[in-house]
Amino acid sequence: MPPFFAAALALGTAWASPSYPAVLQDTAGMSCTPSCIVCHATAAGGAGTASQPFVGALFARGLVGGGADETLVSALGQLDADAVDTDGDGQTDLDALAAGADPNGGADLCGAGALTGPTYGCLQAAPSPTAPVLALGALLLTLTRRRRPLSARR
Amino acid sequence: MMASAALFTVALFSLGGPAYAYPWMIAHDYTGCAQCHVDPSGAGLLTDYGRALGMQLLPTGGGEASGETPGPEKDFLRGAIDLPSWLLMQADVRSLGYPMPTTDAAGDITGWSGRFILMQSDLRSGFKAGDFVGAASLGVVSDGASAAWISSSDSGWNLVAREYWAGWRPSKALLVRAGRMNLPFGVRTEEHTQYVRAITRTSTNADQQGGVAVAVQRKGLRAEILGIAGNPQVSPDAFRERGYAGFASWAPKKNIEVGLSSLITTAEADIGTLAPRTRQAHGPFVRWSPLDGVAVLAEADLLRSADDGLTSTGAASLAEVDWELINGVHVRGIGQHCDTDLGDAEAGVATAWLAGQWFIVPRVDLRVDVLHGTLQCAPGLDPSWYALGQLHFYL
Repeated sequence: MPPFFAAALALGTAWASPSYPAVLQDTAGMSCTPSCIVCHATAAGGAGTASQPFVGALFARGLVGGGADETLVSALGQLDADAVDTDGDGQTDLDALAAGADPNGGADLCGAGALTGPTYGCLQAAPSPTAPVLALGALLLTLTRRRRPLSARR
Repeated sequence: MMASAALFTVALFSLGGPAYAYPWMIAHDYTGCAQCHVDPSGAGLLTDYGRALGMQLLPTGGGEASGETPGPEKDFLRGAIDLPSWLLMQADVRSLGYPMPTTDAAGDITGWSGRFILMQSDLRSGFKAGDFVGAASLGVVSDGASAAWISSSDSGWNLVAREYWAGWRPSKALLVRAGRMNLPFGVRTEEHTQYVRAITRTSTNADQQGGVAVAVQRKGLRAEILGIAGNPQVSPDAFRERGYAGFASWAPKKNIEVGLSSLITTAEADIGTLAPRTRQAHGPFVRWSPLDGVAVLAEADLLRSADDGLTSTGAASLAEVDWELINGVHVRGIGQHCDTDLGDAEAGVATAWLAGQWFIVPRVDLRVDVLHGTLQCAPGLDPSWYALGQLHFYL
């Protein structure tokens, strides 16, 4: 099993799976969106840091990085079917997540004292890729329509 | 093919533009950055001179001997918009497609599927009005760059504003700026995954911070210091780092520049560890062109971290040689090493990196990279093979 499926990177961005916490919350029935620490060594997540035991069990069931949500859902389903208990506390990983507990055996993920990472952005917008792309397109269109005829430019 | 083998895949293409810095331009006797970039320390929005140079000097078929002076085709959207002289505009678009492995329950690769990432689509603008100057960018990404988000979509698609600042020139040699801007530290390069950029959080991708900066450029001297007030796009406030970042460099000749960088920041809660943390990074860098067409870039940083009472001393280093084989065609060899704690038993990580970059025509370049190592400075990670291809353009 490869330690990471971070297969490619670009000089402008590293691998990222920003949708995974929300997918994990939905699929496992959690009461909160978990911190990246449930899978990563750091709260900021990022390529190469998905080293928690729990994510190792997911990798073994087909999870890949880079935002492939379907592989996370599939791996969680397989994890449930296999009744995996990563930290050996008698509670399966899926049951632990549903209860807001860390399947790695760490601190609570959803309790009052739970570690939560930072949030980014200052607008509660962009529910889909369409909005920001359209916004940028509209700006470009506006600029283009200001073009003067060639004769006026001379 | 067993998945236990190191994974080797090829990223197909990306589109984008020189919102980037090319520190190897010292091979063309450019020791400074402000000639070509509005940011006095390089990267981002190009000046008129920078746009002209990008047409004349970078691509195959251009070159210093061409003697041709670019016309309006060098301008924003090839001159389709008649911009006033005080306004600068630039559109950068970058995307990436790559194959993604699918695996069975045993972890063996059973097939491949294609994926697409829009890494950058920034509209940049700037102004010059008397002694005042400013720049801003607004764009969209499909993944990553979270520290530059201005929207908050879990889908990954978000609006990003990497920089926005206004400045005043009290004299020709001085620029005082306020806003969100790149951190003045080390070799200003677009390769934000390099250890020296990532571990110090000084990349141009999303690591910009809000604050006030003073830049000096006089003959062979370049220096800038930024008083860091925090990233306004991260919340709550406990995660905002405060401190400073700065560098000073000296170019005794046209083919060499040596400098020193320093950074100290502190935050009530670190974005990586969630604990109170003070980070330091200090070290020298050099840019040197020993031969025509060859540029050597090197940087070594001593890292110091006080994380919730635990202190550690680490180091990150970079050595890069860029050789312009023929005009517009570059071959690049890069070696880097990083260890976040020199005092523990865990060995550091290292990466060997080979790249080729071809500036095919004005505004367009193709790049292929192959590397063996780790993507991040995280000791304990197993090295793997990586490969990628990029195609950039800007308007």
